[in-house]
Amino acid sequence: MSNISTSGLHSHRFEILMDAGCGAQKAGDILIRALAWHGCRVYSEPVIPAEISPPVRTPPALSGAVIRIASAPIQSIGNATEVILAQHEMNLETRMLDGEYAADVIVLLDAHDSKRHGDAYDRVIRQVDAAGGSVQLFTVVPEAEALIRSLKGAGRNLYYVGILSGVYGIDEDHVVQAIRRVFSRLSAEKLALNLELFHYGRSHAPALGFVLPVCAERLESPILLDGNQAISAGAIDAGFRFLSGYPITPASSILHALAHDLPRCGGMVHQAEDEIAAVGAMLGAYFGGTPSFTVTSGPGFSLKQEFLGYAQMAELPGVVVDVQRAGPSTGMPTKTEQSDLEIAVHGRHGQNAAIVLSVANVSDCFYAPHVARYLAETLRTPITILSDFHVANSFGVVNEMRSCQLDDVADIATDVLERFDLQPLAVAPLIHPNQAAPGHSPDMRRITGLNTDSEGSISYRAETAQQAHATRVAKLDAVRDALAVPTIHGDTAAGVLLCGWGSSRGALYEAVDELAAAGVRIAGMHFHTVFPLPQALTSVLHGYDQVFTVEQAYGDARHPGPFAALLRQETACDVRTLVGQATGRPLTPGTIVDAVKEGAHG
Amino acid sequence: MADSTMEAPRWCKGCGDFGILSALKNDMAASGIAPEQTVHVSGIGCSGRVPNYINSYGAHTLHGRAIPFATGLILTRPELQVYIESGDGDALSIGGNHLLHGINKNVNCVFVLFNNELYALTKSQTSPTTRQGHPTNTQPDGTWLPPINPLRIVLGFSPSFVANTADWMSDHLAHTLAAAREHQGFSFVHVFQRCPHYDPNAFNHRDRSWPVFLTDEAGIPPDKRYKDAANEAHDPTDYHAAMRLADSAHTHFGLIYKDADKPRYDSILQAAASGSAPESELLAHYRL
Repeated sequence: MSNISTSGLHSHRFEILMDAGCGAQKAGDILIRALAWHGCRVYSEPVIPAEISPPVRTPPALSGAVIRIASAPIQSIGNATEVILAQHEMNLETRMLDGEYAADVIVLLDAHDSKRHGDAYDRVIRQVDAAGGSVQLFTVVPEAEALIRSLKGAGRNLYYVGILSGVYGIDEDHVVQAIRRVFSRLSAEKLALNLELFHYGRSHAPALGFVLPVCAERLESPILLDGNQAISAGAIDAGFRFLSGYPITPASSILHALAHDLPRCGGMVHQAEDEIAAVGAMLGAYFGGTPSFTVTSGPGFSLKQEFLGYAQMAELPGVVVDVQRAGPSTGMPTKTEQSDLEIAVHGRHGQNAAIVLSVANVSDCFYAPHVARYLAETLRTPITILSDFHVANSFGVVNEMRSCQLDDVADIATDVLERFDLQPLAVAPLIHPNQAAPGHSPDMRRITGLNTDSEGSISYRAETAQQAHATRVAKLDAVRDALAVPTIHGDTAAGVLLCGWGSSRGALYEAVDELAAAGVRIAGMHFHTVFPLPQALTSVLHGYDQVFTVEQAYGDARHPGPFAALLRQETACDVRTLVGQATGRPLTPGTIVDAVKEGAHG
Repeated sequence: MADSTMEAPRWCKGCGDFGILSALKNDMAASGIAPEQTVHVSGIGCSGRVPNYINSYGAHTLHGRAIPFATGLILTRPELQVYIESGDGDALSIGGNHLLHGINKNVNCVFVLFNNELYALTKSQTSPTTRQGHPTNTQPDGTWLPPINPLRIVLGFSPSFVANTADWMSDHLAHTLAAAREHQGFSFVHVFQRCPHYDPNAFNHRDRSWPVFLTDEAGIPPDKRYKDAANEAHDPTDYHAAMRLADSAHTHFGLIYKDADKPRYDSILQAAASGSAPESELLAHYRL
């Protein structure tokens, strides 16, 4: 029997697993809302199949929601699942391969398929038993089963919502309110049937003795959204009025959200014919003076590189959101990774390192477009925001972000910049000072990917080529000089430093806290701006006995991961990769804690 | 209008691009549109240099990518007059996909295809329109395959405006550009363009007897200097007649096809972008 701890962070993790198309995501959505209303801090990660409708009862059909609840703000999905509710034994077996369950995991397993697949049920139940967990088979009551049949198989997810809400004693009114909210488009008749199924499940929930962790501090104005929804809203708030993109997982949901919202705010979403056209149209719109951005993921990001180099040469502003997924090549489209760092910084031909921001959570996602637009327009250069599958799809309940309605980038709020460790830029070097958009100046501007002089004229002269490079580097230095070294999390006098970036923050900080509680002296440093890096970082890193990275990209004792390689290159410090995890799964605090402890013994 | 040349063009002596450049400049003057309201967008190749030689706004973009760049500009700045200059390699090879979708989206611009039937700036390689048997540096024994037919490809995508002209028919070229500019949509102007350096005799341009000019009240007048050339009546709204012209062994000059009713992606998106929802309520949808 798992106990929710009563000291420090009270946290608990459970998950619901079903076949794709059966409503596991909707069930998760309902439970997250109800839990948040109940007063829990919630963080959720969907398990999303890569295909639309894979055959049922096969590993690719697994769809689900992993939900972590806590008594204090959390930014990671935690370590291990303590309760699993599974539709059938195949869902359970597939998910258990990820190895993210507690030793004493409790599995609530729907017995519906056990008549036809008794042997398989027995085998999987024995596996769970052998691992130290326990399986409780349950049968959906016949009245509910008849309702589900009348709904052609739909509604089983609501029965499960009933069970889980009963297991945790979530306030029933909150659950009903959440169901009404999530099913707001359903007919009254269908909604009533779903509510009936919920009540059946609720009244047959087993008593497992869990007490929900509730946060004493209530959020002032709680909102629930995922990273891609936050980027979409943030982009409009940051003044972007043109989005061009090409469908790609896991960035497409930004296109979806803004196809709905941008026209209502006087903007447009252009679905281009390919990834190259998407970045080209974005630059064309920015050439015309319209704040514009494009969204993509790994394969599309590779295709966009030539235009991003062009934008640096022609001094065009531009913003690319790369929602990273596991690579290389097509990789694992619905799995997370932080492996586009190198291409983001150095991915184009000719020397032209690029400015790269990253996001750790939904609040960052909302403000990153503001900072990107500020840098892009001030320095007239393309900016990349690196998000990833995990941040894009994880739901968090957070306080509503402050609306900025950014018009002139010079008016950007300093606290928004500070979120990315930035101050307003002191200088903004340009190769060609006249940068007016068409229609606004008789001094007409002609841009080209050829080398140009300060008048904008094509020039192959030795001196102007060298000068143009120096100016592009000076743009990086303008950012470098405006950057502060990120605040240390944990023991400021520790000799060992763990560095991470982007979505690794939640796991990194939690691991540092847990290690500190266990008496290990260690510090954590998380980077929002990943390139360039602050000037003072070199001396800070050299002050530590050991500096390690924890990253969701491949690295091992002999091969520094991409972030470790970048830190080594920029600081000449012997940075090693402690956790170089390219499994497609998000980093967990436990992985980092174990790696530190192993390192201390090894 | 004052001469709008910026710097001396770096094309070879006798290049057909000179004729197209002056026609473009003349068309800008004739349009009455202020140069600062005009943007020339190009790809890579000899044709790609045009924006650098015209005193208007300009974007000399990537190889094959003028159309997507221009599309972003046209969508967001509909009041600008946009010309796109592209070559046969640029538009039909590396940028082929964009041409198809530019035609289909029918965004408002004048698209000028400089067809010299080879890659010139990169020093004589086979392009999609190089005639079979013509030797180039990449196919020195003679180009292996028959050329693709740009008109058939373009007509296959249900265009809104297709015209044929040539760099050496200055009068006809001027009328064609004016008609293309006045048409609201993606105006595809196919210009046969001489390359005196790599294929000087590609088009038999000195002989004024072979061209056939298409005539129609709604069409483009025949070149006034070609008094002996044949004229042929052609209804530019007749799609099947246009296809027959594209398939004809003979080259016809004039307005091949026009569909004034083809939907325009740019005006549709612009009309939809008229909302003024309060930005402060962006997150309201996500409140618990």
